[in-house]
Amino acid sequence: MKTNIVTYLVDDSRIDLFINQKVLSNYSKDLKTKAFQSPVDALEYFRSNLDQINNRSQDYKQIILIDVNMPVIKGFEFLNALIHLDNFKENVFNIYFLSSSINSEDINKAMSMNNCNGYLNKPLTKDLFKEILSRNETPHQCKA
Amino acid sequence: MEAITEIWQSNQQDQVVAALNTCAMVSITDTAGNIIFVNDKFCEISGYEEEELIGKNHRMFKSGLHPDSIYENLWKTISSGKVWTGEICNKTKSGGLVWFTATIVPFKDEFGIIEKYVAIRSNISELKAKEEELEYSKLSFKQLFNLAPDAYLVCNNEGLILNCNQATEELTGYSQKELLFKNIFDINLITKRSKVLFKKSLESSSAGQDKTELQIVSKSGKKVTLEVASHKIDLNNRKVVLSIGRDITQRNKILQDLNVKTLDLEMFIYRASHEKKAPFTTIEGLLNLLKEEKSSVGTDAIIKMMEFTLKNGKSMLDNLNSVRTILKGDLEREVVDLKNLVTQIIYDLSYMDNYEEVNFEVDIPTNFKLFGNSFLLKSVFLNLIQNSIKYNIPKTDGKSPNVKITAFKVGNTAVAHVIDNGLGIKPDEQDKVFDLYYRSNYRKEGCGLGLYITKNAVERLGGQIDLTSFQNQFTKFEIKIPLVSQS
Repeated sequence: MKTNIVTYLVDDSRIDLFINQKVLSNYSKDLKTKAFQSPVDALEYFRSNLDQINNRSQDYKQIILIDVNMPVIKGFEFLNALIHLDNFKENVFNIYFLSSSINSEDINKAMSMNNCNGYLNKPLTKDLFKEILSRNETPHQCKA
Repeated sequence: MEAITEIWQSNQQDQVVAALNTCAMVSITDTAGNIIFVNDKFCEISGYEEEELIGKNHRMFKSGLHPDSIYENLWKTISSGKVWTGEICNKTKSGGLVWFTATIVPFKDEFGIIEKYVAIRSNISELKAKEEELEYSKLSFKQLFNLAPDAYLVCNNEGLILNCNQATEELTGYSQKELLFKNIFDINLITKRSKVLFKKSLESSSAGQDKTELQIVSKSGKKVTLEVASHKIDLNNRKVVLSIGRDITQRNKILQDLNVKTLDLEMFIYRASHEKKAPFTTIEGLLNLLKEEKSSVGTDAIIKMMEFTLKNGKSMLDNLNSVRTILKGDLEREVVDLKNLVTQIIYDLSYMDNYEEVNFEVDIPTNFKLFGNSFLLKSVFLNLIQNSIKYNIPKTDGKSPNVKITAFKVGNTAVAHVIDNGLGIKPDEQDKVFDLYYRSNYRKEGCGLGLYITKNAVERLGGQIDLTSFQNQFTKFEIKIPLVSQS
């Protein structure tokens, strides 16, 4: 198991982003995190650095946590745009939705999406993050 | 000629008379119209015995149905030696009416003087009755056809218009004259896309009715949506198509509005259940952090965020409540002083970030009173002023943030402007900002309800709201509300 971990956070709520960053840094000081309050900015980051990010996966386990309910680009639209980027490679990321919604429509939608590893309920906690790390890394095994 | 007459007279005169007697009523009168001969058929149909008729004047059969001029004309014709033929109605002994075709031939003596008239009649009462029935059904068909509220159009399967009713004229704006015997595909009545559909329904081999939705453009250029049912009809081997069209423009509009409202409602229920929960999960997350936080600076920061989240959550719940009130609540009117209302709102918003930097200009005459619902009016101005503070520019950009609220009356309308010199709204977003749960900016906290509430509140007051904006220059909302008198 890779011990180096980088987590990308995409959430329009400033405070939820703060909570998530804090939970991760409380979990381990060695974790790398990159936070985006704007899904547009996040998408641009992945688009322009995807080659480098793909290479990172040799050394890092890379996790993306996406908020579902965001303005301009919704979480689902974000994932769709991400996997359609040129050079997007499967198995580079472990992708999870992180939302306060327990709406079954949202959960089913997330489960049905390619490259989605799971649907998590807010708030993010140390225990929840630990569980993500211990999960099987193969995509499509979605667990809510 | 002589020879033929000879043979005729000698061999067949009796037979001809016999043949005539079986099929026609024959009567002979003198020049004054007194009966001197009737055959059996005449007696049978008139209902009289021969003895009752001989010596009587022919006028006894008058039905009273014809004007005197007919009889005058008849007498004038036969008394001048000519044959009269025509249709005439006579009265029988029992008082019944019988229609005949009659031929009256004057017979002359060897000096050319008329000595009697021979009348040959055949009974056409049945024919006449059928004719009347036909006329009646023709008339009633015509009336039904023309009085039908739906547009009736008859054409052949190539689209040649054979008939149409008044409703068609009213609906299309074209007169029957302009439509008859034109091909419907050659005139600019049906829109291009609908032509394809209509052609299909004319050609379709199914005997039953096909319902299609067609768009037409009336003579005056008005677009109308019709629901058309086409029926194949076989008229004595002439195959035609009767198309019955009903104007469903209004119905479609109502359905569409209803659809939007339903979608809004579904979206609202779905989102509201989610949004309501969001502040709780955030507080929960912050509480988790608070338990582990050791530095007092960190604790203070987390508590501040909790306060902020609570405040946002509360205002969101208030917003959800206002949506319900605006869409469903009673509209009680009272006198509202607009200047007081706006001043109070500005004061209430002092908790907002950047509030201190914003310069407020309130240009509303004192005693500017509206007779309206204070809750709705407050929702309108609260959301607009809140937005103009939220989406303003930072002071560092050379200009200072400014929010101007003006109100004035034009005729029977109250007009109000809320103008800020802030970020502005992108052209492609301007028609979306009033949508339910539309959020344009991910850098600003928002619930996507504010302008939806504003628009619905303004519409509930019978008014309208318009938006003009240039990015990084200004945003101007204009509200027009009809003035309602207190009585």
